[in-house]
Amino acid sequence: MRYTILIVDDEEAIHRLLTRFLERVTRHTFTVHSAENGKKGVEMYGKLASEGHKLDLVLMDLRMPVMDGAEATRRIIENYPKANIYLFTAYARTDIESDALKAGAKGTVSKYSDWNWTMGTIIDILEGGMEVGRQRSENRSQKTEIRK
Amino acid sequence: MEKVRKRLVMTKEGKVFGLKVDDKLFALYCTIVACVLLTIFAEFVLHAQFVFTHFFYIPILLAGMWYYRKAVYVAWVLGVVHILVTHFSPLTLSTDVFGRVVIFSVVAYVIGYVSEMRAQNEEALRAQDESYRTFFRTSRDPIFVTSKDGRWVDFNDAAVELFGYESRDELQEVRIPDLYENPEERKRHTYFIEQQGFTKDFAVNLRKKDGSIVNTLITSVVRKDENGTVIGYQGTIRDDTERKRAEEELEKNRMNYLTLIENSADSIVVTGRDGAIRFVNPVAEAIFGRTSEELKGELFGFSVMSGQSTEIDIIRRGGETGTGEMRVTETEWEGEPAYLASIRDITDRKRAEEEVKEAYRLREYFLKETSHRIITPATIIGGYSQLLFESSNLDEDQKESIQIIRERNDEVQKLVSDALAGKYLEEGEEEGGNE
Repeated sequence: MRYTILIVDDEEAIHRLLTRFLERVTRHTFTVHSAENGKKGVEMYGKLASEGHKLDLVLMDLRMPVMDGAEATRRIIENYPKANIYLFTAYARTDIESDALKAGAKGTVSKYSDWNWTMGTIIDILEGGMEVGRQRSENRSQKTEIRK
Repeated sequence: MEKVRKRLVMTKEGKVFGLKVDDKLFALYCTIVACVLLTIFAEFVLHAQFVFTHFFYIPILLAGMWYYRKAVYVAWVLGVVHILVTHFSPLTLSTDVFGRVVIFSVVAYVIGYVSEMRAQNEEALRAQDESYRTFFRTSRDPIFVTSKDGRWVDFNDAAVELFGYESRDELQEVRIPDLYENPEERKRHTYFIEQQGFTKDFAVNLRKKDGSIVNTLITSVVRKDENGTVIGYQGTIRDDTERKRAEEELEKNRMNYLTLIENSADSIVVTGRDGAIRFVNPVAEAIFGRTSEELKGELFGFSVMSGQSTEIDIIRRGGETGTGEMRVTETEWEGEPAYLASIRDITDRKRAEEEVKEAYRLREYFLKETSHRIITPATIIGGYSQLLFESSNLDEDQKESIQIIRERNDEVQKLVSDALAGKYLEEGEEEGGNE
């Protein structure tokens, strides 16, 4: 299948790594858009949506300059309530995370050194809907099983 | 008299013809017998050359004085004797004889009646006198009658007891001024009595035989002679030592409690049911930065709930604020229901707690911030080392090197995750607890 993903993160390296790992997934093809902060992310989402692109997943970092992930999530959901936003962060269980979840983010994909596991989670979200993704992201202990 | 009576007629039991007799009855009996004998002698021997019947008045008078109206019986006995003797004597039984008998009876009755009346009056006076005497003697309050120059006229047993003397005689010898703790005090006392005519509950310290002092209240009046000259004083003494001691004890207790409250490390505020401040101790003055006089009567301003501990904001003079921990109990103040609030100044403790909380918060913040800042680069290192490791153009040595980087990177990330989960904090606390 073909999926369109928007990654909002102030780390350029993360954008590139995500693209590199997604390229390695053979059964799907991905179009990756990236924004370096929350404000740009909101603008990008609006631009892509107005151009008629369907965004399958938004991966939203939390701690970013100019506008943080919680605020950006709130603004996107405000205009596009069906936006499929997942938090992509090292800041698990923080106030800002819960703010973003309240604002409408569907779950959290933790940043982790094992990118195969991260990819597995992302693909689960895209294929199986948010329940599978959330379950997977919330229970890291199952990662070895899921990786099989 | 006793000897004569016994020798002449008395049996051992003191009876004459079966009648119990005393001296009076015996004397009466003798005079009657004498009169009878005199009659017989006068009429049979002398043929009544003189008015012998006048002697009859002796037993009649005696009977009248001693046995009151029963004297009439004596008059009648003598009258009958006189009539019978005259009847059997050579003398003629004239109306004179009967006239005399009537006169005997009348005289006997009158003397008897007057004697009886007088005896009744005397008895009444005696009874009255006795009741006063009994009252005087048995009163538990010491009663005294003294002379102006400071000697006893009379006193009761309670006075002997009060002054701790062995007997009345012993106390009788003591001069009144010597019974005062300070003999000069008597002058002041008698001055007041004479000025007002009396004193009521005049406080005097008296000295007992053993030298100890007894606190008394003396109520007394002046005694004057018929010319109005003061001849002495009389009155009652009330032992006030116990009451005074109880009062002192009470005052001491009160002072003890007051000292406790005054020296309490907590501030103490007593308010009435109306919320107005009735009392504050020095600590409360310090905590509110105002004096007791300023605070008394003012509304306390905190809701007082019995049995609860509440934190209150304290505003000192100059607007400086603090925190107090207040506990309230119900009490009584000057006989009215009141609240007793004890307030502990916990400003410093509170500040220290806040500082500790802030330190914890900072530590938490620091830990999270540092950890998260490490995780992001670790994620990137992990990603690139994974890409390198999985690329095909590496020899075994290179692969091994990359693998070591990946493993160590995973280790770093695990360390940080554990730190975030509070694992090391808990372990640290446990180690601390085991020391």
